[in-house]
Formats: sequence, C-alpha cells, structure tokens
Amino acid sequence: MRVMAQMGMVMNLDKCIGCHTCSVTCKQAWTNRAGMEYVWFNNVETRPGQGYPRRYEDQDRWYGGWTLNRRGKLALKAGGRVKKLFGIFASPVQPELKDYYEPWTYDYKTLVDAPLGDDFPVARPKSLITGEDTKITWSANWDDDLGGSTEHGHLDPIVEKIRRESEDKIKFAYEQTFMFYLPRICEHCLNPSCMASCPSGAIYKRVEDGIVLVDQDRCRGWRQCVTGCPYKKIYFNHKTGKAEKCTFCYPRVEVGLPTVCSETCVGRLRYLGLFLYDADAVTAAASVTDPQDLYDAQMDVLLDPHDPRVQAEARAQGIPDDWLDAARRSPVYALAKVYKVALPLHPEYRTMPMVWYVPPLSPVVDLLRDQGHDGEDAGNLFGAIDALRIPVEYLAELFTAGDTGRVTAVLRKLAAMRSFMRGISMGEDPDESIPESVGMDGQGMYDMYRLMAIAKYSERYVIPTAHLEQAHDLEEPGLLFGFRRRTGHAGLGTVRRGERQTRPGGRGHVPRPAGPAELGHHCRGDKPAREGEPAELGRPRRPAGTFPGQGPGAGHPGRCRGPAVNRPAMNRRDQVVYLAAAWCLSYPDGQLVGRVPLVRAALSEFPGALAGFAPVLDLLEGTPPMELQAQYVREFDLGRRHALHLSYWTDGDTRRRGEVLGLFKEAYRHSGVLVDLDGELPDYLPMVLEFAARVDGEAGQELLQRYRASLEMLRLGLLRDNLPHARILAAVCATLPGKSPQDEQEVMRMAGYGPPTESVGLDPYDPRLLPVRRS
Amino acid sequence: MLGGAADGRPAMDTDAKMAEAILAFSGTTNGILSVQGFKDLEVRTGMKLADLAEGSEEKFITFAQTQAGPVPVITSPEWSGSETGGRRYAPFTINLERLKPFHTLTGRMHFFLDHDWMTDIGEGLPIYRPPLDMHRLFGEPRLGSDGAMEVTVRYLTPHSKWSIHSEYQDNLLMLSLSRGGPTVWMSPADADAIKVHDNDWVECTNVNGVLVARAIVSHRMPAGVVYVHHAQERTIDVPKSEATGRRGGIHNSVTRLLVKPSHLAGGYARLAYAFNYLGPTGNQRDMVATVRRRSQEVQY
Repeated sequence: MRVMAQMGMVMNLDKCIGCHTCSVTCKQAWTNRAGMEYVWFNNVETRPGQGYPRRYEDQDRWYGGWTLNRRGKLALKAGGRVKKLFGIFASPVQPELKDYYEPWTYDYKTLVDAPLGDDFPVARPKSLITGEDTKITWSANWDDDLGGSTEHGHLDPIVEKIRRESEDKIKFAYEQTFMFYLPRICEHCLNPSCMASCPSGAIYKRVEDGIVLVDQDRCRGWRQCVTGCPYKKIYFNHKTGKAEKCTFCYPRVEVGLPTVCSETCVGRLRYLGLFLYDADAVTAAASVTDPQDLYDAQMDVLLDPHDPRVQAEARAQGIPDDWLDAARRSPVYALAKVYKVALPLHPEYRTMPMVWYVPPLSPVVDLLRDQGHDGEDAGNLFGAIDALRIPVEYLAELFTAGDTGRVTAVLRKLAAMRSFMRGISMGEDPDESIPESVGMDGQGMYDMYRLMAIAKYSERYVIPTAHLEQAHDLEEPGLLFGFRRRTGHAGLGTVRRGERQTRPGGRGHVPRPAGPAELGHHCRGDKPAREGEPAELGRPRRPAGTFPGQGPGAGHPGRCRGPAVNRPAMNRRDQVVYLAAAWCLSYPDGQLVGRVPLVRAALSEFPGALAGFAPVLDLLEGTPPMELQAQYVREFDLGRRHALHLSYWTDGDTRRRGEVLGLFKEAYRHSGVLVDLDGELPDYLPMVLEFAARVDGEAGQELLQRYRASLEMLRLGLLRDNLPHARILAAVCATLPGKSPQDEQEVMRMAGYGPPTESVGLDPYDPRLLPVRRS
Repeated sequence: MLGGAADGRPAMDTDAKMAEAILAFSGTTNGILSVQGFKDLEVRTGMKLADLAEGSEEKFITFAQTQAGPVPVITSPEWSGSETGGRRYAPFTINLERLKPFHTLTGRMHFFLDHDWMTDIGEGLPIYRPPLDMHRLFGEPRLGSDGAMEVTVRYLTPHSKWSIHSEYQDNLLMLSLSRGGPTVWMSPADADAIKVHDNDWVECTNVNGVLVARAIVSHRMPAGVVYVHHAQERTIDVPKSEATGRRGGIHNSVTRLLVKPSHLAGGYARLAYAFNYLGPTGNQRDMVATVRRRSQEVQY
C-alpha cells in the first residue's frame, strides 16, 4: 500500500441553477488573455445537450481516454508511443474552433462614437479571430436551457446512444422535458490520459495533492494531450503555442482557500477535500474488464482515513498529521465513499476522475410535480425513479457507464432524505422506515442531510494548507521588512543576506531574517532561543543588550558599519515596545501568531509593559486565523478609519503624498539602510516601528514624533471603535515626548491641519474643464 | 441666478450636481438621513431600529464613487430589507425581524383588499383571471397561424435566470455563454408553422411596436407562447426592422400598460399611486404579438 493524498471536488447537481458565476469568475481569474479567448477551464452545460466543445463525449471521434488492448492492458485510445511517434508531426485529432466556438466581441466603440442619426447606435458582433463582422452561430453554451433542441438535441452522444440501445426513446416533447446543469472542470484524474499522451513529459501530477498541471517551460505544443483528455479539458493557447488547463486554483488551495469556482458558487453546490488512495492499486483498478465495474474499483482505491493502518502507512509516506486530520474531515470522502451518493463522471474512460457528482433528483421531482403528484412523498418518489426510465438511463450513461442500478440507488437515497426530512420539519416523529428502506439509519441520514443541505463554508471546504514552512527556518523570528545595510560608502551597496522566502499564510514574499545584528560578523552561528533562555524579542540568538548602537559593542568598528553606529543608546524598553507594536499591528499570519508567546515573555520583563499589549495578544491567540485575518483586513486594509499609513492622515490620496513617502525612504536611507518594502508603502506604521526598534532609534523616534498627530488620530479612531489595538498605540505614544491629546479637536490643533485636500491639479468641477463655449 | 430663489443654495446647474443632490436626499446614500429616518421610525413604531444604520452617519455616497464602481448602499427606512453587517438584501426583513408594521390597514401581511371596487369586480383576493381576448377587445390578430407565414402567440417577458433587469446579462462573458444578443424562445410547433429554424432572425409585431431578435427553438416551450426575456439591452446586436425600417425594439416595445378600474382605487389604506406600478399589479404583460420570419440579411 502506497498512500497518497488527492484534492477532490464533489458537485451536488440538484443545487446547480446554471447561473455561470463559476465560469465567469474562473475565466476572469485564469483565461482572460489573448490566445485563450475561446477557453473556459470551467463551463456549465445543459444536459441533454452537446456540451463544450461539441460532442466531446464522442470518443469514437476524439479518441480520448484509455481503452483495454487485446491483452487486457490499459492503452491510450489514441494509440501508444509508437503510433504517436510516427504521427507526431501530423495534426492530432482535436476539436477545432467550430467545435468550441468562434469567440467574438462587439463594436462597443460605435455606442459612443456614432454620428447623430435617426436611430440610436448599436454594437454589432465582431469576430475575435478575424476582427470582421460576424453572425453568431455557436457559443460556449449554445444549447443553454435546451435552446435549439429541435436542431441539435439529437447530437448529444448520450441521447444518440440511448435512442440506439434503449427501448424507451428520448423524445424532445414538452410533456417529457427534463434537464439539468452539469458544471465541469478538469477531473484531476488518478490515471490521467493527458499526462500519458504528452511526448514532452510536460504534464505532471503533483505528489502532495494530485493536482494535474502543465509545465509551461517543457510544453512543446504537440497537442497530444488535447486528444488524450476525454473530457476535453486541456486547451491549446494559440498565442503561446502551449497547452493550458484548469489548475484547481492551486495557489489558493495551497493557502487553504477554495478554488475560485467553489468560492463564488451561488448554489453552494461544491465541496472540496482530500481523498487518501492507494497509488499502487490505481493501474489494476483502471484495468478491470467490465466498464460497469470501474466505479467499484475506483471506490476500492480510496482508503479509509479513519483506519489506523492507513494512518500509520500515510505517516510513513510523509503525509503530515494535519493533512490526515483534513482527510478524516473530508466532505468529498463522506459523499463519495461513506454515503455513496457522489459518482465519478464517465468512469468508462478509465482515467479515475477525482471530480465527483451527486446526480440530480430534480428531473424526477419536477416531472412528478408537473403531473400533479406530491414530489416529496417517499412512495411516489421511489415509484417515479423506477418508472421514469429516461432520466435515470441518461444519468447512468454519464456517471456509471450505463449501470442504472447504481444511479437508482443514489436517487433513492436522495429521495429518502428529502422525504425523511420533510416529515421532521413538519413536526412528525422521524420515520425510521424511510432510511431503512435505503440501508441507512435515521442518524446517518440526518448527518447526510446536514452535509448536503446546511454545511457551512468550513465544512464544505476542508483544505489543508501546503507545508511551505518546512522549507523555512521558523525558529528565528525575523523582521517583517527587509532593512538592508548599505555597505560602507559605496552608495546603494549590496545585499548581505537577501534570500527571499514565502511567508505561510500568503502575503507574498518577505526577506529572510536579516536584522542589523547579522550585519556584524559575530552573529553567525548563534543558536535559536530555547526554553529557559532569556526571551528576547526579535533576536533570541544574540546576547542581551547588543542592539546596534547599544551596549558594550556599540561603536565598535567591527560590529556595525555605516552611519547608524554611534547613535545614542535607545531606551531598551522602548525598543521592545516598538517591536512588539510593529508585530501586533501587522497582518496576523501564522508566523506572527506563533511569536505571541515570545512577545509576551519579552514584554513581561518590563514592569507594566505587557498590560497595553495583552488584549491584542489574547486576541491573536484566541481567534481562528481566518477570522483574525478577515478582521485585520476589514479594520486596517479596507477602511480609512484606522489607516496604518502615517502620511495618509496628513496627505491622504493627494498628489503631495508621493513626495512625503519619498521623505520616509530618505530617512531610512539616511540611517544607512535600504528597505525592501515588499509592496508596502514606506510610511506603514509597523515598518516605521521596526525601523525605530532595530535600525535607528533616534531617527525612528523622530519620524514617529513628526507624525505624532497621525498616531493620535489612529489611536482615537481605534478607541472609538473599541479595538484593543488602541492601547498599543497609547503605549507607543507614551514613549514619545509630550502628553497625548484627549480628543480629535485637540489633535487637529496640535497638528494645525484639517482633512487632506488636493493642492495640485484641477478640481473636477473646475470651470477650466468645461467645454469651451464658442462665441 | 443672482437674486433668484436659488440664491445662497447649492447649485444644481450641471447633471453631475443634480445627481449629487439626489444622492444627498436618499437615506440609502446619505448615512445621516438613514439614521435620522430610523430614529423617527422608532418614535412612530416603538421598535428598536436605529441600530440598523448607526455607524453609517459618516457614510456618504458621492456621484464620483458611483462612477468608479458599484457601491453598496446604506440600510435605510425607505426600503424594507437590511444590508447591515454585510447581509444580502431581502424584502420585508425589517417588518419581520424588527416588527415594523406592514403598510396595510391591519399592520400585518395580508392578501385581502376590502375596497368596495375590488369586491365589486371580484378581486378582493388574488385569483386566477384568464388572459384577455385581445382580438375582440383591441382588434389584434386571432391567436394561432393564419395560413400566411405568421403566427400570433401570447408574448411573455419573464425575468431570465441571469438578471432581474439588466445587470450582467449583457456582459461580454455572459453573452458568450448564451446566444450573444436578443432572443425569442419559441415552441417547435410555432416555429414549424412559419418555417423558422433555431437562430433565425424573426420579428414580433403588434399595434404597440416591433421587436427584432433571433429565435431559440426548444421543446421546453409550449405551443402558442413565446418568451422574450426581460430587459435584454438594445445596445447589443439589434438590427433594423423590416416593419418600420427603424432599429428593432426591446422586449417592452410590444407591450403596453392596460388600465382597469381596480388600478384607479386609491387613497385608501395602502392603495395609492406609486412610481412604476399604478395600483395592485402590473398587467402590461397580457399581450399577444405576431411573429414572422424575416430576411436573414440584417442591416444595422
């Protein structure tokens, strides 16, 4: 047994309203680029319907997926390596633009540019390929809501098959109408045929979470993957000449966020979570003879995350404990394997798809209701599932290689749940006979209902974060901003240790810890803080009292170079307060939260210092990270009430601000450091505080005092909104000369300024902007 | 304006300033008004309401903000829903959760209208009324096909699944996920009668006006009815019509408001004139129109 983890998705089709929000947000995020105009990583098809691209399920034409060869071994339907090699320069079998659609835009410019005429102007369609006028004859979703069924309905490969093989023919008649929506993304298969098709080895399946990606550097544009994927979810970018595909939004998933399509889903029909599977068993499972056995085989590959043997094996394979925990809480595992209501899409392609679907009961319920029956009565529903063969056969062709028994079993479970819960919400005693009739008990059925009907965000999306921190040395808390010493007098100098690392939690890159202490030669090889050692903020690995320009080493030429040396010693307590404040006011990612004990310990070395910080530290420790970060963004990033940028208060978003920000940078440079702003503005309060604490106490305090009014305004703003951070601001202000003002009026008087106003440029209503009147 | 009535008052001499004035007068865009409105309502109803808007006093949505992007409005007593704390708007939230009385005689939600006129015409309660015979009443053509290449159908304008009025359905991405312009949903039987195929250009006409659009033929539609989804914009892909030679219209080009006596009942309880709808319900959707296939060479 080789245990591997796989990110998977389940979509509950009963909840899909076909709004296309997933498609639009996905396109905006991923394929809103030249060369990708026709590409929809996520699309929503109305079924019965041809889908996108047209008739992609017709593998007799497209040769996608796997088949069993004469020896019963798996082989690509499009042919093995030898065939591929001989045909490599021929254009592979792949859908053309007419099979996707010819993307278009409109002549929007006419709407504003048209000369005065008898009719109002109108934007006519223009092809995005040729740029010429065009008549729209096909789109990414032409047959939406069964539109055009008279012309195209019979072209749905499943309709064709059922008409050919079943005694009940699908008729496109008003009275027998059934339809549902099928949202599709890449299946991130366990046995991906696209990957096997690639002659360049550019497609890979990530070891840690099974996401299938195309390496853009290795892709040579052979397009064999487009043929190989039976779901036609790999697309050719005709500008770059490379293949692109759904990425399962891995940059989001890595930091614990759901994919864009899931996040924005209006119907909340998507579930994300982990599967554990036995990688050694995949090939055998994909090779079972009867396509209708593939579902069972796929289920057997999935491992029970509660099984201690599986857990032990997973640990041995290096799967971290929090991932195992996530696998136990996985909603996709529950729906697929525990409740057995989620089914894979087209298992007969033998790719072991990992995006699963709960088949829709609504076609059955709707038909019942339209015929005047009670669509929630268990008896009626069970009868209808058996009687209404057409929807069931159609679903079976999609999800179980034509095995209607399995689809019926799932639909009966859904019908039983609907009926059972209706009884409960009508105030009746739970009717245990209903769950029993589908082999479940009342509690299990209730749990399933909870997961399918009212599961909250955190229950629908159980996403363990990527273990980036293993790559980092978290034992030494570093600076948030990269203050880099300018060397000697050589102007802009070089960076001493500027390797970058990613902060887990995701605000991009910050430099590796590179504090002033490292600038001296003596600091290398110092040990990280251990229990029992004196807790010292920021630099546990240095002996106490050796902040630059302070303690016995201050002024020693070998210790620190540049103008920062020989500054008068700064109060040690102030230094700790500044650093603690810098961290408490920064974005609360995991790393910062992890430093809370250290901050607490350091502050408690100074009598009374901890009190002002305690509420925020408690908040940091006692709040779930998502909530904490949401609060931070809400309070500090989005609004202007608590702006953490000092010159925002004095200069706002006026054109003067650039100059003022330049002065901050100049102050830093004057102290002999370059600051890696990391996307922040140089007047960001935590940066100024860190500068004061770690680089140049005097200059830092000077800056703080110069923007004292901003600090006080911020303090009063925080106070007004009952945010505990107000006390931190009070502690910082207390280190500065002079008493804190009582209210905002007093601050205004102190600073002698009002709200920021623009002193450059033209007012929007400036008469100079009005059209020149001809006289 | 020197010496005029507007002396010393804010100028509204440009459209932009007029827009600012409107924004200043609504509680949804002016937080002070919202809070004040709720406080007044507290006095009138005895229920706690002002907290729905408190903290919004300093919010003021300017015209420039609305130009820069969509701005969420402030919860206001002018409407019955609440968006406080990031909630999505739903009607009657304030009535249901804060027990603000409904605007009815009883203060409760009810469907019965005890106005004499409503009683006389049998509409004291919402009931089914068959569609009007537009042929006998207004001389519109009879329903069905008349042998010529025309079919007269009931003309319905439901909201599409994508929009209430115009938002986003005419966005390029959404158009790429549909038919890319105005459409008429038809049943196969009606389409057959006038030899219309899916995606053919058709014109819907009656005494009110004309609509030019492309047909979507689907068995999902019953015979004798067409759907023209509400508020498909006429800025996108609307050619000139053969009937008038002018730009083909929008869904409402072929509809008109039909006034009946109950619409005029007013000044009693909640029955009063209000903008957009006159009286109990809008029934301008009770329409028939004649559909015919037109030349497929369209002119813009």
